Amino acid sequence: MVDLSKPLSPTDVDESRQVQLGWNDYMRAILQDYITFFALSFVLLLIVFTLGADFLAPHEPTGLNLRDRMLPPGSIGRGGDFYLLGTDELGRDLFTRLIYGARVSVSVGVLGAVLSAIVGVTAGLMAGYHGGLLEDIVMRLVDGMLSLPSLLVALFVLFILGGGFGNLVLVFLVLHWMVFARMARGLALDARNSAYVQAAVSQGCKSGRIILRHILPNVMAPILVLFTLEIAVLILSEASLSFLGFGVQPPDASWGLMISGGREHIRSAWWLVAFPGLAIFFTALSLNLLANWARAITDPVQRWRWLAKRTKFRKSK
Amino acid sequence: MININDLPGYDDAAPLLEVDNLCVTFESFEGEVAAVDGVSFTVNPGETLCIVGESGSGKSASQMAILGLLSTPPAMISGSVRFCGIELVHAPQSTLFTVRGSGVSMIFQDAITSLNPSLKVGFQIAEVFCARTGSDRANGRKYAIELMERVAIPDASHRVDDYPFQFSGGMCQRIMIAMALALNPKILIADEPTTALDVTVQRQVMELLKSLSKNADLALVLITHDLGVAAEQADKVMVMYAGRTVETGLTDAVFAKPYHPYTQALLSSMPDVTNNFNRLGIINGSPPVLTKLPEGCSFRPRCQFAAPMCRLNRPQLFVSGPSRASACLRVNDIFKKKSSNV
Repeated sequence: MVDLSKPLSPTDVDESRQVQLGWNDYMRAILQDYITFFALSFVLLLIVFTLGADFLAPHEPTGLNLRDRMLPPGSIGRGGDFYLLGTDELGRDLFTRLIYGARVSVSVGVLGAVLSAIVGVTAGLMAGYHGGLLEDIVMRLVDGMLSLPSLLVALFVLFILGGGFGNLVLVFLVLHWMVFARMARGLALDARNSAYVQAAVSQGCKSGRIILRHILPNVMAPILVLFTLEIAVLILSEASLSFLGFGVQPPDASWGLMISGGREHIRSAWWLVAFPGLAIFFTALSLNLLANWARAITDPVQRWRWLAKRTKFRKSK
Repeated sequence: MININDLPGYDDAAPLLEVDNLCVTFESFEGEVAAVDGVSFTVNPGETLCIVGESGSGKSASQMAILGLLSTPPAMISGSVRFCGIELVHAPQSTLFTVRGSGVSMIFQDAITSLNPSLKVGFQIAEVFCARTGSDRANGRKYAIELMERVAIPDASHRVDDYPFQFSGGMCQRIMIAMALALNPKILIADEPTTALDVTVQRQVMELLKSLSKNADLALVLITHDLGVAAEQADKVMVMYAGRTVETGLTDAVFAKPYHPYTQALLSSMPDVTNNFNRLGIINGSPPVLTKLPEGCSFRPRCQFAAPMCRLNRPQLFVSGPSRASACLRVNDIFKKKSSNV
């Protein structure tokens, strides 16, 4: 018989935290994983340049200098200016324009992904949790919209509304929320039947609270991975739409627009196309690698594997 | 916030929980399956009712139906469940939200998976309390510690910020109980609360439930297939077989002298230290598939007393003694005669 008026003995208490991993272990593991380290540094660099473009750019993004036109990378202009990546046909510094272009490309990508994630995840979780007519409506809408050729719709809508930052984000929201909705619905279907949701229902939680507080935190990991991948997809679509002249309008710089402008001079000035192209390539690559990594470390089992390969276990105390 | 007292139909004088002819049917490929078929019982304040039966006998389904936890469709529910006079079957969602937690609360078999892995236990315990009373997080945390102390979790003030994975199974079940008690319910339905635990912890949890029901005047509906637990805890016991009640009555009376062959067979399959460790009794065959119930009495194919009359119609529950009922047609032939001989 156990006397319940007294506290239980320490053996009744589970001590599951025996190995504690600190910040240092994660840092060491990251340094050992070259590929992730590269991807993470590239994305961090991109963020730094995007946020600090006004301080970090060596020249004015729209500053014409017709005396220094079409200079190859690494040359010094007549005024003594150094052009790291060369200049374009109007004598604007390519490196500066690449930084400002990053600002547009990245913010279109991130904003588009954030908005479509909010709309899609909300719709998907509600459809999956409530089921019934709501689910039918949302999911048939998703099916319908996924069967539209997205580039064609984007061109059509942007042709009517006109290009520019806001419209581009709007088009991405309309064309990409379904991806999130579909995934969120599947996750909600799974979570709806879980024991902890049932327990919450029997405790008197209302459905809004269950979706937000109980289901959302538990399905966040895969959604985060999809979100990272979606940013890469959106940056690529922004580049193609701008390349076709329907996205960001000059004189604003964007990577797609820069490639499109450099296309005419590809024989004489390869750098005008090569550097924006590389920027797009490395951004998309890094984001894809990061998504992969995020999937690994948000899953406790996978994270353990990832860490175990790269750190020595240290027992605390 | 709506109080239970404000709900339509609330009646102080009505029994705490009154279940009348509750049926739960599921649509399946092989036709309709009656998981629960006409179950009736009442629970009064402070009372402990034990529902025993094999897996698939409709114990859990009937309790889930009471709280409206089964999604309809596929489940179809008929009959009546009244909590203090408030009808719960096909009740509007708002009524169910109010009654759940503050009127009837439920704890489940597997406490570890019943707790949300990504929320701190303190938050989970006080969540509904905060939502219903509109009190802030700090107050909720204080209340959570109080509840954790009530269910005898050591070092509650520190453990309140831990996550469920940092607790053992028994501790998780205590946390579940604390969670279920947060709004001071009048009835706690415990769906096999100790199945996933080892025996010593089982004991502790059962002791806890017992002391709670004594001290807080909490009525318990205990679903179990452990007859030992039933014998020790319950005031009343209800034996279910294939979705139907086969016997009900006061625990002592039923266990001392069962009035149904199934109850008798269940009891004889329990190890008994007083009869020299004889061979345990067995029940031949297996529980019937609910889509193909045998004609007449569902237990007939496995019953050692089966007679031709058992095939004719499905026996109803009828009064077989003081405050007890049995659904065996031959109860007078088999049990009463035997007892008079002795």
